[in-house]
Amino acid sequence: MNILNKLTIKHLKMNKKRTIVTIIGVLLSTSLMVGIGLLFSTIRDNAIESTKRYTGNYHVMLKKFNYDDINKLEKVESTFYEHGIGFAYLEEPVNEYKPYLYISSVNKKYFDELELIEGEFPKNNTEVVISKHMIVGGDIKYQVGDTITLEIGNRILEGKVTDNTEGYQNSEVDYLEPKETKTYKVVGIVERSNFENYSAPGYTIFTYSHLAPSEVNLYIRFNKPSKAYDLTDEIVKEFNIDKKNVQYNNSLLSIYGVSNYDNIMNSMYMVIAIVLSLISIGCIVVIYNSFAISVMERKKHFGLYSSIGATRKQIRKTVFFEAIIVGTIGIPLGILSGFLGIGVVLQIINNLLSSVFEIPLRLSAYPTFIIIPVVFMILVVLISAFLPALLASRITPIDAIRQNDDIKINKRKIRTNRIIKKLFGVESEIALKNIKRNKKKYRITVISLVTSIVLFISFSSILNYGLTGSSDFYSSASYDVYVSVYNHNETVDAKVKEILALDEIKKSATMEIYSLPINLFSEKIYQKRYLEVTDEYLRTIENYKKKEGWNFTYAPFVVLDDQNYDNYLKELGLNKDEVVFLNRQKYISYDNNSRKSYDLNVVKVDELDIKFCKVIQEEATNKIEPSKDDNGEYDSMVSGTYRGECDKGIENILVSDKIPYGLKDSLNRRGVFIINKKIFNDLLEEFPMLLEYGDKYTEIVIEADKYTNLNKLGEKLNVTGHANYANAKEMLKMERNAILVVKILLYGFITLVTLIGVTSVFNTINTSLALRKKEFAMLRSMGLTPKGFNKILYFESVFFGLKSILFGVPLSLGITYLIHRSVIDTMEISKMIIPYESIIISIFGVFVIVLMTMMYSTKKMKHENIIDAIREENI
Amino acid sequence: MEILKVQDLTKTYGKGNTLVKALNKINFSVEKGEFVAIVGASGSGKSTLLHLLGGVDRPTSGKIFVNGIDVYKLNETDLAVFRRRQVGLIYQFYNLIPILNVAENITLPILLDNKKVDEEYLNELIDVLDLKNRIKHLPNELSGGQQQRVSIGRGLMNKPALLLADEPTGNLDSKASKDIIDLLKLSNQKYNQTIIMITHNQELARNASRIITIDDGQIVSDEMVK
Repeated sequence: MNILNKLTIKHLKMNKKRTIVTIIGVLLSTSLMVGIGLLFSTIRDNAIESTKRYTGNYHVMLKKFNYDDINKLEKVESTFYEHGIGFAYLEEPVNEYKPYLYISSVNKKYFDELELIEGEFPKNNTEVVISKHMIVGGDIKYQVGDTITLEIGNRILEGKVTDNTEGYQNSEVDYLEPKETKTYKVVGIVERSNFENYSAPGYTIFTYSHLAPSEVNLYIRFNKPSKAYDLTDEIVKEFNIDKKNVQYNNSLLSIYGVSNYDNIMNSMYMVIAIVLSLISIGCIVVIYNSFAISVMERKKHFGLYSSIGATRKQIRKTVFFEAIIVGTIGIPLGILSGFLGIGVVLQIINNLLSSVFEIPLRLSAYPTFIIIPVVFMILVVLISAFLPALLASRITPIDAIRQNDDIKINKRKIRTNRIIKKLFGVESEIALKNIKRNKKKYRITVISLVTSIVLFISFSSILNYGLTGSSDFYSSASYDVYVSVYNHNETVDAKVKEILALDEIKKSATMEIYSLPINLFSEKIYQKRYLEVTDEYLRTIENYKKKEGWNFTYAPFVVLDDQNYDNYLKELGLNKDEVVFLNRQKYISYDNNSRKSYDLNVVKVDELDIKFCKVIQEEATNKIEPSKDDNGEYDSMVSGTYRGECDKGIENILVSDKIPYGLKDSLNRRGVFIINKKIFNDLLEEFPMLLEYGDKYTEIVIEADKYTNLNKLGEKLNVTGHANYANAKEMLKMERNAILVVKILLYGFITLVTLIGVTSVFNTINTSLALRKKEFAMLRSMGLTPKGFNKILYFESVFFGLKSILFGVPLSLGITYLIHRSVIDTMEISKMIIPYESIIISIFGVFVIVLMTMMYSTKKMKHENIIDAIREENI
Repeated sequence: MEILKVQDLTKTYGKGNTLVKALNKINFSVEKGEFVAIVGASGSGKSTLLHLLGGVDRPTSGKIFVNGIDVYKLNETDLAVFRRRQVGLIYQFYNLIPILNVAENITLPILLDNKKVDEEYLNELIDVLDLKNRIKHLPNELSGGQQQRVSIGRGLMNKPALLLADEPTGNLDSKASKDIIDLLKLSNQKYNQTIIMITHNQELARNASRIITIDDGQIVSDEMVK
């Protein structure tokens, strides 16, 4: 090995502490970079896997492809195919949009795309597997081992033979033409097939045949997904395929980055760009600093080498050699710890968020995402070494021989304020003069500190914005389970009944909500405060008024179940059924970033007279009129003019601000009327015109101890598509876990990033103090007390701290503003969130870190023999 | 044979009022094998002269020829090579590399040149320098005299055209000083080594074959010693 390289290694060994801290800096930066890459890679992989699960693992599907041409396809990784045997009617269809069975004959490879739950795959064309969702959602009681006989035929939709992709319309235009009768044996059950649309009218059952007809639906996976569109074009040309029969798996291809779709994540990209450039700049500054410091320390050596004939090139090379050593140790270790770190994080995510990700997150190292950060780090290390290397080669031997640069000191440059000396003593003056003399050295320290501050505050801001985005929607939920039914039919009602009969339920309330036309309240009876807060509602009223004849509004009437209604009456102290107007409105505004919840009275009277209206359409024609609102001018469709004939009403409606059990906040947007079934029926009898408004939707709230059966039945209810079952308790838990994961990730980032900054601060301060060893010894020899020594250090710490805060905090606020700007479109945030907390933390942190490093670096010096230190050559 | 020629050598520091002429148009030449002592009071400019001769500083004006080469016409790299091959420097404060042992410090100029060390010559030098038992020692394990002998060894290792010594005994006691001067004389005689030594000690200077006295940046006397 070259003598200078040997010297470099010796030098690194001599300065173990600094070398290790520098390597740690490189290690942390690399693991951060690789970690980000791995995280992206893993999430991308997960997206691909779950997309495959939803859409099937293929890139393009060619309908009616000639079977004999399959072998002629090139650049294809794998193909599988399917063809429809036909449809059969279900005996008792539960889901009105799925009245059919669809029998599909597939090849062996197709089975790879199906997930077998029970039994086995068919071995011939008389055996079938059925899908699980047939049993769960369709309530079809087939079992493995059953023999089924089906009358199979073509599905005719609006006069044409069609397949299982078009949704079901109605029995008049959508029906079967039977062809043949077939008998199948059920040999297995599979998970719902990816290839069956959610709107498909037939549940698919699969059979196997080694024989294929002349035309099949062919699914293709290409060797290179990124070229899927081009390769498909070639196939289309070569085999003369009708474009209508080409179906791309766009959602899968878009993850491979080959979709033509515009990306909607522009603002996210902006944030990611800010994050990456922050980290990159941080890494460069930190690593540059450690090399600059090393060169500073070895300055005298370089001068000496130079005086005995080392060329500039040789000296430059030694600095690069140092960079290479640090890089060869730091970068591989960084890659390793990046993998370890992300591995642990994924484990945590999988444990906390098991049900958010359908497929558990699995560490995936897509080469690009690893190579880019590694190459970047290598470049960072080399670039960071470049400037210091240049600096090192410029050191003249005469500088080295003269032992110090004192000759360059300029009186004016180190002039200090007399007041400071008077106030803080001679120590402060020494400290200040030192800082002024070694401006360059101190600049590096300040830059390190500024970088740390900026990284810390900016990442905290990202965390702030990230968490503001995830509003805790479910945390305001007062009940455990919410069920909404928006379309009533027998099946749905039966399922709801089944749910409500469960033993698990502790308490529940059912509300049927009708919207009935009533006359507008007189503005005079509204609470002033209510009008102030809900000016949007007020505007609507004014809009109604502006339109000629609009003198009515649709008001929500909540029909509470009898038990809860009776309880409500008791609470109100009433002894006969009455219509109650809930004089309370919950209103949530998101103005100025803060979620403000209002709980106000709507009206200022105790009793209310309302009139029901008969709505008459005065102008039948639909016409387009220019309209204008806050968003600008646009054309809007006016569906004629309506007028209410409001003459008859119920008098003396009780006004109360007590909320009955079960009423959801979301329902309570403006005053609602609370009644029971009996009152509602009486109203219908009295006002027959209300029959027109018989459409209802139902809200049910449930409190329960256990959710096992509830969730099971709820899932079945959701399959119908007419109702929504949501377990808020569990969702809240999930949501909290999700926030926890985001916090773990970002706090992990902040810790790493701060540590990287700290390594740099430590190195710069430690080295520049070491270089002043002789000077300190001299001061001590002249009678500087330990107290005075500390005073110098305190003073310098304060200077560093103040200067770096002065630059760091405004810079961080600038970056916070950038983050704010980039998310402003996607989040409802109007005011910038100023990260006060992290600013305060970083101000304290800076002083603590600087002072601790100083104390640590001078610990030895304070007890060293003064004469030894003075005599020791400052090499 | 004329090995060194100095022409109108001038070096100034500062500007205007603070202008200091460290050297003012100095002219002299040295033959191969001469042992020249340059004497003068502190601040007379002798160190500046030595640094300029060694190629580690740059003159304000004037020229220096070593073996006929105009030293300050060389570019940075060639100047470094010149220092490596043509000059051996001995400092008052030894300036050894603290992390290299004795043998490594001595051979450093050869190693910088990526050349093979002439082991025979090295052993001979170590013998002459009386450092046989100290080869593996680090500088801080040596006495001042020993350290200075190492630095002489480093200066001689390349068989340079000029061996320049800047107050080589300035930091040593009289016994060690005598040893060092003897060593320089020995190398002057044994290897016909040209030596230029700076000192403010007239006694030591008398060991040389020629004494040049400098005062206020100018040569005030140049005499041969009998």
